[in-house]
Order: sequence, then structure tokens, then C-alpha cells
Amino acid sequence: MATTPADAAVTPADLRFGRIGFAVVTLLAAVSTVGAFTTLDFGSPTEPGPGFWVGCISAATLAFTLVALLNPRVVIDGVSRITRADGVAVAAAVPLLALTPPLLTLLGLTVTTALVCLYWFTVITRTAPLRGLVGAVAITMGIVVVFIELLQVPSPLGTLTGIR
Amino acid sequence: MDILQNLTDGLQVALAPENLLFVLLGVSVGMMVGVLPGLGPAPTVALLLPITFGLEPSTAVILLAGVYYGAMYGGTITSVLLRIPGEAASVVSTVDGHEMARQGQAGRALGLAAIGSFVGGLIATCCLVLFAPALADFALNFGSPEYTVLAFLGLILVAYTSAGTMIKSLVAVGIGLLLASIGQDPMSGATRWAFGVPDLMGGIDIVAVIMGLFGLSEILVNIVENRRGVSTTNHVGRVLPTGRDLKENAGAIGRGSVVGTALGLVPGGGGVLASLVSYGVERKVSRTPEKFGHGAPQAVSGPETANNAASISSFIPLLTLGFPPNGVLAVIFGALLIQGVTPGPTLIFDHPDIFWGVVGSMVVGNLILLVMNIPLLPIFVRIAKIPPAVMSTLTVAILVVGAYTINGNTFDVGVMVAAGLVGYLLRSIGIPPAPIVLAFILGPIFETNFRRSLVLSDGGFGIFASSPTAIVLLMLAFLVVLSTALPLIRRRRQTLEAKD
Amino acid sequence: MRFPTIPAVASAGLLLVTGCSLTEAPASSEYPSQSISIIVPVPAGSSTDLSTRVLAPCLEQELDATIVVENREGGSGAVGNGVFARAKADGYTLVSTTAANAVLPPILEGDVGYDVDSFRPVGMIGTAPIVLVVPAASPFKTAKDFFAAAKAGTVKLGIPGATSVPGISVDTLIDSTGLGITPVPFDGNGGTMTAVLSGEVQAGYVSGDAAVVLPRVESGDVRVLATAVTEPIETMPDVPTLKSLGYTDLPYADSFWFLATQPKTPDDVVGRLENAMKNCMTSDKVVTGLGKGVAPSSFIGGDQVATLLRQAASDYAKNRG
Repeated sequence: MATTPADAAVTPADLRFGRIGFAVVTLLAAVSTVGAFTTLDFGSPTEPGPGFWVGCISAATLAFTLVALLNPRVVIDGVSRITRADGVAVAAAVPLLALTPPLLTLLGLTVTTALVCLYWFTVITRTAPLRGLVGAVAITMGIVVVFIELLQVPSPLGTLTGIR
Repeated sequence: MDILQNLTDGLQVALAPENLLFVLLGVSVGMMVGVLPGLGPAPTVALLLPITFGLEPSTAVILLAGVYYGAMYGGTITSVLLRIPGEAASVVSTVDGHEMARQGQAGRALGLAAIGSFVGGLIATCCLVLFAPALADFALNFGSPEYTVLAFLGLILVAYTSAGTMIKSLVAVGIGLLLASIGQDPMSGATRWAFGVPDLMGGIDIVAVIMGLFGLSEILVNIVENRRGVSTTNHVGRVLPTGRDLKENAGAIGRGSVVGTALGLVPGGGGVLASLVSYGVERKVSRTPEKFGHGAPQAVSGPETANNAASISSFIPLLTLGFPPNGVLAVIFGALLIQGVTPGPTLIFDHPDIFWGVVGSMVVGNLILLVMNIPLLPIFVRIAKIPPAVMSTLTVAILVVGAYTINGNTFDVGVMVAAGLVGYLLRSIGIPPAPIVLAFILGPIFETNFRRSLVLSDGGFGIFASSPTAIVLLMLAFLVVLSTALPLIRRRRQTLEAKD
Repeated sequence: MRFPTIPAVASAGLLLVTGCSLTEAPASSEYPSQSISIIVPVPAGSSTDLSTRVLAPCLEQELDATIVVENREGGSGAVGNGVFARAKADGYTLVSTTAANAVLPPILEGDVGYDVDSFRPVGMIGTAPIVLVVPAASPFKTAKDFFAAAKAGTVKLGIPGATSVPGISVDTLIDSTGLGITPVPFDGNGGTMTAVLSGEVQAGYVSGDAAVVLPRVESGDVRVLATAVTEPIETMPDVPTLKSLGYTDLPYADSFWFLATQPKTPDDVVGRLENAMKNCMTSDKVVTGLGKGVAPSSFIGGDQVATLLRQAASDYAKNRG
């Protein structure tokens, strides 16, 4: 299965990227292992407590990430380095995505959907502003019709706007 | 003869104009919620519950059942075309199905899935007719040790069936298990990893995690490519499968029907487990397992057959024992109670119109779905021809709204966003999302039943081999591990010999 | 092909749910002048959810307003009850919750954004007495057989969850008597009953809900050995209570669920709701819809529910706090 030929496609930058990524995952697994053993009741193998399973899977995950980290052939497998262009675009999307839950509460479903669409069109996909506006309105109308009018899903009443 | 008579009566119930209308209504709504990510079959069935108050009991169940298996057909379309599972049981198809779509064979994948679903649905319906009592008896005998071993087998299959290196799949499984351990420990009631946040105490919602890991991370991976205004992807190709296609997939569809029908009976398993196990089985019997993960038709037809078969066979425990094996059936159970009908062993005798009417409607409903699916696929497929900029914006909007509609909670939107970003970062270092989600589902089943078994046996591990079912499942798990390890050992020996 | 059917579903639903109220303007500007939502903090299809959905159409008629039942599940009721507690106290966001879901999360988890004082009960919707059941073929013929076996050795007793009302109640029983009972938590009443019927556990200690447990009792698949309530249940007059068997000082062990508003809700609004509730809970249609043994035989009003709720809260706090 580990069929990663060490051919020309693999660059030192990819390897470094994979290693940094796995170092972070390893660190998180270590934190989770320590957390499981210190904050949860481990019990015993025949009478497992709430921490037994968490402790076992944290430790196992830590072991696997360490194996991957120490083995260049494994760590490089399937790595697709985030390019600068990708990174910039995703970084632009993060604030919008992080703000969506509070926006839903404040502005309601309809306005939030329209804002998300407009931002995504103009900032992320770099669609021309007018086309983006038309698209955002169209998508929002479609969503309102399907989810709110036809399926009658519970939707938040914006505390600022007073509409769904 | 009796069965034939009953089936004829059942078809008559199903073909009564009112019931026919509601079958059509049910499968159409089901198909639609299947295509839309987020709003799964269970919430939809719950939303439709008030409508059933005014209906005959048989009509009510016919409507709700139609939504359920209709969603199984619809979910495939979104999985194949957008790589977002329309509903959880179509997760497996996001891999090979979408790969086929990339290769311009979306139509082929969807056509095979529709035909497979139809065949699986019919076979499961036949089983419902022929073996309902006996099969349900068997599933009832499943105790905690059997579930433990079954979930263990499932987890092994997850690591085994994923593409890429085994170690990275195992890391993904570990991440999924850890995410699933957030919330209340079902055995002791202690809270794990909640940090005093009430929303975390019940655990994080699997649907929100799925939407983030699959849907949002896919959008983020293609964030730059999606700036194109014109679609270049997805030549759909012919939808009606060729004779050769059918021949090559007949085995997968047959095996998927059997796997799906069997696992639909298992409470908690249902369509997700069925499609996963079917994928594992297909990969194992395939003569070209290396094609799995890169657009193998059998990796779509098998699992899609299995999830539809499971959705239908999951009616067996409800209609014969009165136990709903999953959330959708729990709502249908409630619908029957409101009608004054208590599902249980006597239902078939006391209310034959319900049992046989539902059976009849499944035949009719699956036929409608097949007929709707093949000629109407081009309409669904047109979604794929929308420019990527529009499609990605629409997807983000649906993900946000869909995550909200799961429980009507903005917290789930946050979970979806976090899962999307984490999934994006993990994918960049080669950790696949599918094993995370599947482990997320199987982990709690394993842990709870493992610990419960040990309470039952006073700490003795012999309980896991205490019944024939458990022993057979354990041996299966052992065989899977062995078949994974053997090629590795052989390869190592070859390398060693080569060195000598 | 698909779309004509969707408006049909939606409009059919609207017609049935609202009784055509959409076409009429509200009669007066007084309460209720907009739609009322009832939060149900447990999943759709559970017994609290189902009985709320039986009650809702009747309340709509009584109040002449649209009622939306919203499931906000998660955290053993903590999520939905938290949303309810944070909502405006204007009578437009109500909650339908079990006593356990209202009382236990703040005791077990600390600060969850509400506590027992966040509920001002309007009226009881349903009750489910806790029952000790064994399969029909069990050697335990009476409660005495069961407790004799528990004294002599270990009895495996299925419970519907470690922090469920029966679970806490059994813990207290074991702590106070030293009986050889091993509680085994299963997934809700359904899971516990499966385990009882398959013989995986020797007995089950569950709330006698109309969905899973009572039908099994009626069909004779299981036998009720004892009930936890202090007074015998009307529908099972011959079954002894734990108290009559000599097990006293147990926490309040009776599952009930009720409609509630926030404490600051205006009195006239609460009065209007309580009146509507009273009319509904005494109507044949609602009583039949709720099922035999679920609806209280006479309406139990807000003050009485509040007393029961506080009793339950202090009992659980004593045993788990």
C-alpha cells in the first residue's frame, strides 16, 4: 500500500510540509494522551472507566503519528502542499466562516446567507461585483423558498433584523 | 401461496389511488432531501410527521418509508457529482463515484447506482416478505459482545479499505475515535472533553462533522480552481449502463443486496455500515483492487445497493418486533403509535394492511424511483454543468443553512466550519477524511458494548467468544487482519531474499 | 416532476397543523399575537416529543395561534433547555421537558446556563412510573424472589443510562442497602427492554413509557415486579411499590414531563396557557392520543408540578451532588 516511489515529484519542500503537519498532529495526540490519563478515570482493563478507551486511542494515535513522523516514505504519502495562492484564499475565507454562527443569530438566516454568498462570489471566487450580487440574491431566494417556505425548517430570527 | 395472496393484497393497498399518490409524494420528497446535503432523512420524516396524523396508518407509513428509501437514491447524486454526501449512507460513494464523475462517467456511476438500488430494494423487500420473522429473531439475539465484535470488524475494515498508506488511515481512524469521545460517556455518565460548554456535553453532531470534513474541505481544496467562470468538468456520459457494465456489476449488486439486507437488521448499523462493509467486500473480491479509490464502478454499485437494501430491511425489526433500529424508524414507530397501532409481533396479524401495504409500496416506490432516476438524471446532472464559481458559492450557502437545520442550532454551523478547516489541513498532509467519519460512527458502538460486555461478564474476556455469532465475526476480523498482514510479510521476505 | 409535489406537502402540512389559521388574522392584539414555539430538548420520535406533538394541535385551537414544536437535542437536554432559559420571557418560547432533563444537567455538569429555578411549570403533560420488570420466563415471580437473589449474589439489572432517573435511583438503592445488584446501562428504554427480553440482563429498571415498556407489559412479554413510586399505580393496583417492600428514602423516582415558561413571564400569560392546557389535558382526544397510563387522570397544574420538580431536584442533588 505504501506505494510512494521516491521519484521526481517529491520535493524537500513537500517533505518539510508533511513533517511540520505531522509534528502538529503528534503534539495534539500527545496533549490528548496526557489529558486522558490525568483528567479522566482510567479504571482497569477488566473494569474500564471513562478514560480507558480515550487513553488507549490517544496513545495508539500518538504511536501512529510518531511512526509516520519518523518514516519519510510514510510522511510524504499523499501530501499536497498548500501553495501561497491557496493559503491566501483560504485565509480570506476563514474570517467569514468563523463569523457565520454569530451572524446567523444576529441577522437571521436570509441576510446571513446573502452576505455569505456575496462575500464568497466577490472575494473568494473573484466574480465581478454585479454578477456576484445577482448570483447571491438568486441563491438566497432559492434557499429561502426551499428551506423556509417549503420545508419549514426552524430558522433563527435575527435579533438585529427581526427577520428569518 | 399464502404469501402470494398477501403480496397481491398488499399491492392492491399500495396501488389504491390515495396510497399511490403518497408513495409518489414520499419518494419525491425523499429524493430531494437526499440530493440536498444536511437535511437527512430522519429530520425530514420528523417534519412530515404532523401530516400523517390525518392519514390511514398504512398510508402514513407508506409516505414516511418512501422518504427514507427515496433519500438513499437521491444521496448518491450529490455524492457522485459534488463529492458531498447528500446523506450519511452515501459517504462511500464520494470517493469512487466522484472519481468516475471526474473521468466523465458520472452518468455511468449514477445509472449503475440506481439499478443497484432498485435490485437491492427488491431483494430486501423479498427478504422482508420471506424471512421477516426468522431474520428478526436472529438480530434480536445480538447482545453486547456481538456488537463489540461487529464494531471491531467494522473499524478494521475502515483502516483496511481506505486509500493511501495504512499508517495514515490509522491516524485518521484515531482522530475519528477521539472526536467521537467528546461528550457524555454513555456508561458512567462522566463528561469528556466538554470544558464546561453545554453544547459539547452531548457530543458533536455527526452530520455537521460530515458536512465539514467532506463538503467544506472539498471547497477549500479547490478554492483557487473554483474561480473559473466556465465548467470544464463532468462530461456525464450515458446513463443507461451497457450490457457489459451490468454483467461486470452483477456480482457487486448481488453481494451488496445481501450485505445491505443483513446489516439493515442490525440496530445502529443501518445504511452507513452496510455501504462501508459492501465497499470492503467489493475491494476484497475484486481482481483489480488497486482501482478502488480511483473510480471503480463496483465501489459505487455495491455500496449504493447495500444502503438501499438496508433502508428497507431495517423495517423488519420494527414491523415484527416493535424495535426501531435507527432514527428514521423511530419516527415511523411514533407515527404508528399516534395512529393507535403498537408495532410488535402481532402487527402482521392484527394489521395485515399495514405490513403488506408497506411491502407493496416498496415494490411500487422503488419502481417509481428507478423510472424517475434514469430519464430524469440529466436534470440532476445539469447541476454539474453550473460554473464552479456559482457551484462553490451555492455549496457554501447550503452547507451553512444545512448545518443549521440539523438541530436548529448555530453551534452545529461552528462544528461544520471547524471540521471543514481541520479536514482541509489534514488532507494537505495526506490524512483522508472518510476513515475519520466512519470511525466516528463505529467508535461509540464499540466502546459502549465493550464496556457493557465486561460488566455483564464481571470482567471476563471470554464473553467475546461466547456465542457462535460472535465467534464467526471474530474469525472474520482475524481473517481480514491476516489478509492484510500476509502480503506485507511476503513482500518483506521477497525484499530480504532479493538482498541475499 | 418533483417540484409540484413539494408545495403539496408543505400546504397539506400547513393546513393540518394550523387549521387554516394562516388565512385569518389574530383575533386580538393580546397574547398570543404571534406563533409560539415549544422547544423539545430531546430527539424527534422520543416519548416527550411525541406527546408534545399530540398536545400541540389542541393548544393551537385553544389559544388560536400557530404552535411550532422544535427539537433542540443534545447534552441530555442541556442544549434545548439552555436555549429556552435564555429566551425572552414573553410566553412565545416554551419548553416541554422531562424533570430529569430539567434538573440533572445542572447537578451533574455544573453551570449549563440554567437550573431548576429557570422553569415555571404550566402543567403536567405525562408521567411514566419507574418499573422493575423481568422477562415472562424469569424465575423471579415476585419482587421478594428478586431481592432474595440480590441479597444472595449478583443480579444484573438493565438501566436506560447511567445518569437516567432509574440509574440514579438504583445507585442510591445499592448504596443504602448493599444489595448485590450490578447496574448495566443500555441505550434508553428500547435498548434496555431488548436486553431484558433476550435475557442479556435478568431484570430491567425503566420508566414505564407508552412507547416501549407498557405494550410489553400488556402483551405479557415482561412482568412488572415492583414500581418505584410511593403510591401504587392506578393501572397496576396489585404491583407493590418499593416503599411497601421496605426500601424507603429513595430519591424521587418517577419520570414526568411538563410544559413550562420562564419565571419572569407575565402572570396573565401563564394563566392563559394554564387554562388552555387544562382544557386540552382533559379532552378525550388528547388523553387517547397520549396513551393509556401516560396522561394524568386529572389535570396537574403548574404549582403542583413545581413542587414535584423541586422535590426531585433536592433528592438528586443529595444523591449525586
